[in-house]
Amino acid sequence: MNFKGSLPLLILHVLQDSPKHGYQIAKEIKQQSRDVLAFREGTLYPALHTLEKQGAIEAHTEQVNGHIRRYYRLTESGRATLAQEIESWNSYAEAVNLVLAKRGGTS
Amino acid sequence: MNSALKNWLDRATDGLPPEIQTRVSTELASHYEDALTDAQRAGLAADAAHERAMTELGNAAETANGLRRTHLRLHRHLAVGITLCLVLAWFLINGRDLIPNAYISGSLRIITGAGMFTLFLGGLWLLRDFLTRQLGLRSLQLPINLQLLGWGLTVIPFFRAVLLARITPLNELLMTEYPIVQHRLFQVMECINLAAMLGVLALMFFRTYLHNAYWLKQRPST
Repeated sequence: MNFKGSLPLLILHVLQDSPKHGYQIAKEIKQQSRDVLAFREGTLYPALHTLEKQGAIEAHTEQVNGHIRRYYRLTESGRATLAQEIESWNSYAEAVNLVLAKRGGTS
Repeated sequence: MNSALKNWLDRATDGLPPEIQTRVSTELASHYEDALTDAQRAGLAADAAHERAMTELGNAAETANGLRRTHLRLHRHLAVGITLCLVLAWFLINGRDLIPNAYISGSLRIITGAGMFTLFLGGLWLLRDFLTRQLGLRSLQLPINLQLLGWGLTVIPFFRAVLLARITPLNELLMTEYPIVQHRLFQVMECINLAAMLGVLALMFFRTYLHNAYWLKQRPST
Protein backbone atom coordinates (compact mmCIF):
# COMPACT_ATOMS: atom_id res chain seq x y z
CA MET A 1 0.00 0.00 0.00
CA ASN A 2 1.36 3.43 -0.86
CA PHE A 3 -0.29 6.63 0.37
CA LYS A 4 1.69 9.34 -1.36
CA GLY A 5 0.16 12.21 0.57
CA SER A 6 1.27 10.83 3.91
CA LEU A 7 4.91 10.24 2.96
CA PRO A 8 6.32 13.61 4.15
CA LEU A 9 4.59 13.11 7.51
CA LEU A 10 6.04 9.60 7.87
CA ILE A 11 9.54 10.73 6.89
CA LEU A 12 9.50 13.59 9.39
CA HIS A 13 8.17 11.28 12.09
CA VAL A 14 10.86 8.65 11.49
CA LEU A 15 13.58 11.31 11.62
CA GLN A 16 12.46 12.63 15.02
CA ASP A 17 14.84 10.54 17.09
CA SER A 18 18.05 10.42 15.06
CA PRO A 19 19.50 11.16 11.61
CA LYS A 20 18.94 8.37 9.08
CA HIS A 21 19.76 7.64 5.46
CA GLY A 22 17.19 6.79 2.78
CA TYR A 23 17.30 3.03 3.17
CA GLN A 24 16.91 3.24 6.96
CA ILE A 25 13.93 5.56 6.55
CA ALA A 26 12.24 3.24 4.04
CA LYS A 27 12.96 0.19 6.21
CA GLU A 28 11.70 1.79 9.39
CA ILE A 29 8.44 2.93 7.78
CA LYS A 30 7.96 -0.56 6.39
CA GLN A 31 8.70 -2.28 9.71
CA GLN A 32 6.66 0.08 11.86
CA SER A 33 3.66 -0.30 9.55
CA ARG A 34 4.07 -4.11 9.59
CA ASP A 35 4.93 -4.15 5.88
CA VAL A 36 1.75 -2.30 4.90
CA LEU A 37 3.54 0.89 3.80
CA ALA A 38 6.37 0.20 1.38
CA PHE A 39 7.56 3.28 -0.44
CA ARG A 40 9.68 2.79 -3.50
CA GLU A 41 12.46 5.15 -4.46
CA GLY A 42 10.28 6.73 -7.13
CA THR A 43 8.47 8.52 -4.31
CA LEU A 44 10.85 8.30 -1.35
CA TYR A 45 13.90 10.18 -2.65
CA PRO A 46 12.01 12.95 -4.46
CA ALA A 47 10.03 13.45 -1.21
CA LEU A 48 13.26 13.56 0.83
CA HIS A 49 14.84 16.06 -1.56
CA THR A 50 11.71 18.21 -1.57
CA LEU A 51 11.65 18.30 2.25
CA GLU A 52 15.33 19.24 2.19
CA LYS A 53 14.64 22.10 -0.23
CA GLN A 54 11.80 23.27 2.02
CA GLY A 55 14.18 23.31 4.97
CA ALA A 56 12.25 20.72 6.98
CA ILE A 57 15.26 18.38 6.98
CA GLU A 58 18.95 18.85 6.32
CA ALA A 59 21.45 16.40 4.91
CA HIS A 60 25.10 15.58 5.48
CA THR A 61 27.34 12.99 3.87
CA GLU A 62 29.36 10.36 5.72
CA GLN A 63 31.53 7.51 4.56
CA VAL A 64 30.51 4.26 6.29
CA ASN A 65 32.23 0.93 5.46
CA GLY A 66 33.44 2.30 2.13
CA HIS A 67 29.96 3.53 1.14
CA ILE A 68 29.08 7.19 0.92
CA ARG A 69 25.88 7.75 2.90
CA ARG A 70 23.65 10.78 2.90
CA TYR A 71 22.06 11.21 6.32
CA TYR A 72 18.97 13.32 6.88
CA ARG A 73 18.17 15.16 10.08
CA LEU A 74 15.06 16.98 11.23
CA THR A 75 15.44 20.77 11.57
CA GLU A 76 13.61 23.02 14.00
CA SER A 77 11.38 24.15 11.17
CA GLY A 78 10.81 20.46 10.36
CA ARG A 79 9.66 19.78 13.95
CA ALA A 80 7.08 22.54 13.64
CA THR A 81 5.97 21.15 10.26
CA LEU A 82 5.71 17.67 11.79
CA ALA A 83 3.45 18.95 14.60
CA GLN A 84 1.19 20.62 12.03
CA GLU A 85 1.17 17.54 9.79
CA ILE A 86 0.25 15.27 12.72
CA GLU A 87 -2.60 17.59 13.65
CA SER A 88 -3.87 17.66 10.05
CA TRP A 89 -3.58 13.90 9.76
CA ASN A 90 -5.47 13.33 13.02
CA SER A 91 -8.35 15.57 12.00
CA TYR A 92 -8.41 13.92 8.56
CA ALA A 93 -8.42 10.40 10.06
CA GLU A 94 -11.07 11.43 12.58
CA ALA A 95 -13.28 12.79 9.79
CA VAL A 96 -12.89 9.61 7.72
CA ASN A 97 -13.66 7.48 10.78
CA LEU A 98 -16.78 9.52 11.48
CA VAL A 99 -18.04 8.84 7.96
CA LEU A 100 -17.19 5.15 8.21
CA ALA A 101 -18.84 4.88 11.63
CA LYS A 102 -22.01 6.47 10.30
CA ARG A 103 -22.12 4.04 7.38
CA GLY A 104 -21.40 1.11 9.73
CA GLY A 105 -24.14 2.27 12.10
CA THR A 106 -26.82 2.45 9.42
CA SER A 107 -26.19 -0.91 7.79
CA MET B 1 28.82 -1.30 -9.77
CA ASN B 2 27.07 -3.91 -11.92
CA SER B 3 25.76 -3.02 -15.37
CA ALA B 4 22.08 -3.55 -14.48
CA LEU B 5 22.36 -1.10 -11.59
CA LYS B 6 24.29 1.36 -13.74
CA ASN B 7 21.59 1.18 -16.45
CA TRP B 8 18.89 1.72 -13.83
CA LEU B 9 20.71 4.70 -12.34
CA ASP B 10 21.33 6.19 -15.80
CA ARG B 11 17.62 6.02 -16.55
CA ALA B 12 16.50 7.23 -13.12
CA THR B 13 18.78 10.28 -13.16
CA ASP B 14 18.50 11.02 -16.87
CA GLY B 15 18.05 14.73 -17.57
CA LEU B 16 19.23 15.99 -14.17
CA PRO B 17 22.09 18.49 -13.89
CA PRO B 18 25.46 16.61 -13.64
CA GLU B 19 26.18 17.50 -9.99
CA ILE B 20 22.72 16.39 -8.85
CA GLN B 21 22.95 13.30 -11.05
CA THR B 22 26.20 12.25 -9.32
CA ARG B 23 24.84 12.93 -5.83
CA VAL B 24 21.54 11.11 -6.42
CA SER B 25 23.26 8.17 -8.15
CA THR B 26 25.57 7.71 -5.15
CA GLU B 27 22.61 7.83 -2.79
CA LEU B 28 20.54 5.34 -4.79
CA ALA B 29 23.54 3.02 -5.27
CA SER B 30 23.98 2.97 -1.47
CA HIS B 31 20.30 2.10 -1.14
CA TYR B 32 20.80 -0.82 -3.56
CA GLU B 33 23.87 -2.04 -1.65
CA ASP B 34 21.94 -1.99 1.65
CA ALA B 35 19.02 -3.86 0.12
CA LEU B 36 21.44 -6.40 -1.39
CA THR B 37 23.21 -6.94 1.95
CA ASP B 38 19.87 -7.40 3.75
CA ALA B 39 18.68 -9.90 1.14
CA GLN B 40 21.91 -11.88 1.41
CA ARG B 41 21.66 -11.85 5.22
CA ALA B 42 18.14 -13.23 4.83
CA GLY B 43 19.69 -16.24 3.09
CA LEU B 44 19.09 -15.43 -0.57
CA ALA B 45 21.64 -16.46 -3.20
CA ALA B 46 23.55 -13.71 -5.02
CA ASP B 47 21.26 -13.66 -8.07
CA ALA B 48 18.05 -13.70 -6.04
CA ALA B 49 19.42 -11.02 -3.72
CA HIS B 50 20.27 -8.85 -6.71
CA GLU B 51 16.75 -9.38 -8.13
CA ARG B 52 15.17 -8.37 -4.84
CA ALA B 53 17.39 -5.30 -4.47
CA MET B 54 16.56 -4.20 -8.02
CA THR B 55 12.85 -4.77 -7.37
CA GLU B 56 13.12 -2.62 -4.25
CA LEU B 57 14.60 0.17 -6.35
CA GLY B 58 11.32 0.18 -8.27
CA ASN B 59 10.53 1.64 -11.65
CA ALA B 60 13.31 3.79 -13.14
CA ALA B 61 10.94 5.94 -15.21
CA GLU B 62 8.78 6.70 -12.14
CA THR B 63 11.89 7.62 -10.14
CA ALA B 64 13.15 9.81 -13.01
CA ASN B 65 9.82 11.66 -13.14
CA GLY B 66 9.82 12.24 -9.37
CA LEU B 67 13.41 13.47 -9.35
CA ARG B 68 12.85 15.75 -12.33
CA ARG B 69 9.77 17.25 -10.69
CA THR B 70 11.86 17.98 -7.59
CA HIS B 71 15.10 19.18 -9.13
CA LEU B 72 14.09 20.73 -12.45
CA ARG B 73 11.17 22.84 -11.25
CA LEU B 74 12.96 26.16 -11.75
CA HIS B 75 14.62 25.05 -15.00
CA ARG B 76 11.25 23.99 -16.40
CA HIS B 77 9.48 27.17 -15.42
CA LEU B 78 12.29 29.21 -16.95
CA ALA B 79 12.26 27.13 -20.14
CA VAL B 80 8.49 27.43 -20.49
CA GLY B 81 8.58 31.15 -19.70
CA ILE B 82 11.30 31.90 -22.24
CA THR B 83 9.59 29.73 -24.84
CA LEU B 84 6.24 31.42 -24.36
CA CYS B 85 7.91 34.83 -24.72
CA LEU B 86 9.62 33.69 -27.93
CA VAL B 87 6.42 32.26 -29.37
CA LEU B 88 4.49 35.41 -28.44
CA ALA B 89 7.18 37.54 -30.07
CA TRP B 90 7.00 35.41 -33.19
CA PHE B 91 3.24 35.81 -33.42
CA LEU B 92 3.46 39.56 -32.83
CA ILE B 93 5.99 39.89 -35.64
CA ASN B 94 4.66 37.35 -38.09
CA GLY B 95 1.02 36.89 -37.10
CA ARG B 96 -0.16 39.39 -39.69
CA ASP B 97 1.28 37.32 -42.54
CA LEU B 98 -0.83 34.33 -41.53
CA ILE B 99 -4.08 36.16 -42.34
CA PRO B 100 -4.92 37.67 -45.75
CA ASN B 101 -3.82 41.32 -45.80
CA ALA B 102 -7.30 42.49 -46.78
CA TYR B 103 -8.52 41.88 -43.22
CA ILE B 104 -5.60 43.46 -41.41
CA SER B 105 -4.54 47.05 -41.02
CA GLY B 106 -1.23 48.11 -39.48
CA SER B 107 -2.81 49.18 -36.20
CA LEU B 108 -4.35 45.74 -35.67
CA ARG B 109 -1.04 43.97 -35.94
CA ILE B 110 -0.42 43.55 -32.20
CA ILE B 111 -4.03 42.55 -31.48
CA THR B 112 -3.89 39.99 -34.28
CA GLY B 113 -0.59 38.58 -33.04
CA ALA B 114 -1.82 38.33 -29.44
CA GLY B 115 -5.09 36.76 -30.57
CA MET B 116 -3.33 34.17 -32.68
CA PHE B 117 -0.96 33.43 -29.79
CA THR B 118 -3.98 32.77 -27.56
CA LEU B 119 -5.54 30.54 -30.22
CA PHE B 120 -2.22 28.74 -30.60
CA LEU B 121 -2.00 28.02 -26.86
CA GLY B 122 -5.63 26.89 -26.77
CA GLY B 123 -5.04 24.60 -29.74
CA LEU B 124 -1.92 23.18 -28.16
CA TRP B 125 -3.77 22.54 -24.90
CA LEU B 126 -6.62 20.79 -26.74
CA LEU B 127 -4.13 18.71 -28.72
CA ARG B 128 -2.31 17.69 -25.57
CA ASP B 129 -5.59 16.89 -23.84
CA PHE B 130 -6.68 14.76 -26.79
CA LEU B 131 -3.37 12.90 -27.03
CA THR B 132 -3.15 12.20 -23.32
CA ARG B 133 -6.82 11.43 -22.57
CA GLN B 134 -8.00 9.79 -25.78
CA LEU B 135 -4.87 8.11 -27.07
CA GLY B 136 -3.16 7.56 -23.72
CA LEU B 137 0.11 9.16 -24.82
CA ARG B 138 1.24 10.09 -21.31
CA SER B 139 4.80 10.52 -22.51
CA LEU B 140 3.95 13.77 -24.26
CA GLN B 141 5.69 16.37 -22.15
CA LEU B 142 4.27 19.77 -22.98
CA PRO B 143 7.08 21.95 -21.62
CA ILE B 144 9.76 20.22 -23.69
CA ASN B 145 7.60 20.08 -26.80
CA LEU B 146 6.56 23.69 -26.39
CA GLN B 147 10.21 24.60 -26.02
CA LEU B 148 11.10 22.84 -29.28
CA LEU B 149 8.17 24.43 -31.07
CA GLY B 150 9.13 27.84 -29.72
CA TRP B 151 12.68 27.52 -30.92
CA GLY B 152 11.47 26.26 -34.28
CA LEU B 153 9.05 29.12 -34.71
CA THR B 154 11.59 31.76 -33.77
CA VAL B 155 15.03 30.54 -34.77
CA ILE B 156 14.21 29.20 -38.22
CA PRO B 157 12.42 32.34 -39.48
CA PHE B 158 15.26 34.37 -37.97
CA PHE B 159 17.88 32.53 -40.02
CA ARG B 160 15.64 32.82 -43.04
CA ALA B 161 15.48 36.58 -42.55
CA VAL B 162 19.27 36.77 -42.15
CA LEU B 163 19.74 34.74 -45.30
CA LEU B 164 17.32 36.95 -47.21
CA ALA B 165 19.10 40.09 -46.05
CA ARG B 166 22.47 38.72 -47.09
CA ILE B 167 21.37 37.86 -50.58
CA THR B 168 19.46 41.07 -51.17
CA PRO B 169 22.17 42.62 -53.41
CA LEU B 170 22.41 39.35 -55.27
CA ASN B 171 18.63 39.23 -55.41
CA GLU B 172 18.45 42.65 -57.08
CA LEU B 173 21.01 41.59 -59.65
CA LEU B 174 19.18 38.34 -60.33
CA MET B 175 15.83 40.08 -60.57
CA THR B 176 17.01 42.34 -63.35
CA GLU B 177 19.36 39.98 -65.19
CA TYR B 178 18.08 36.46 -64.47
CA PRO B 179 14.48 36.58 -63.18
CA ILE B 180 13.92 32.83 -63.66
CA VAL B 181 16.97 31.94 -61.57
CA GLN B 182 15.84 34.38 -58.89
CA HIS B 183 12.38 32.82 -58.85
CA ARG B 184 13.84 29.32 -58.53
CA LEU B 185 16.19 30.42 -55.76
CA PHE B 186 13.30 31.68 -53.66
CA GLN B 187 11.36 28.49 -54.31
CA VAL B 188 14.32 26.45 -53.02
CA MET B 189 14.58 28.70 -49.95
CA GLU B 190 10.90 28.33 -49.20
CA CYS B 191 11.22 24.55 -49.54
CA ILE B 192 14.17 24.51 -47.12
CA ASN B 193 12.24 26.68 -44.68
CA LEU B 194 9.16 24.46 -44.90
CA ALA B 195 11.26 21.29 -44.49
CA ALA B 196 12.99 22.77 -41.44
CA MET B 197 9.65 23.70 -39.88
CA LEU B 198 8.23 20.23 -40.55
CA GLY B 199 11.41 18.74 -39.06
CA VAL B 200 10.91 20.72 -35.87
CA LEU B 201 7.27 19.67 -35.67
CA ALA B 202 8.22 16.01 -36.19
CA LEU B 203 10.88 16.32 -33.52
CA MET B 204 8.35 17.93 -31.20
CA PHE B 205 5.92 15.02 -31.44
CA PHE B 206 8.36 12.12 -31.56
CA ARG B 207 11.20 13.19 -29.30
CA THR B 208 9.63 12.05 -26.05
CA TYR B 209 8.04 9.01 -27.66
CA LEU B 210 11.34 7.79 -29.13
CA HIS B 211 13.19 8.63 -25.94
CA ASN B 212 10.80 6.58 -23.82
CA ALA B 213 10.46 3.74 -26.32
CA TYR B 214 14.19 3.32 -26.81
CA TRP B 215 15.83 4.57 -23.65
CA LEU B 216 13.32 3.83 -20.90
CA LYS B 217 11.72 0.61 -22.16
CA GLN B 218 14.10 -1.28 -24.41
CA ARG B 219 17.09 -1.17 -22.11
CA PRO B 220 17.06 -4.04 -19.63
CA SER B 221 15.89 -3.04 -16.17
CA THR B 222 17.68 -5.81 -14.33
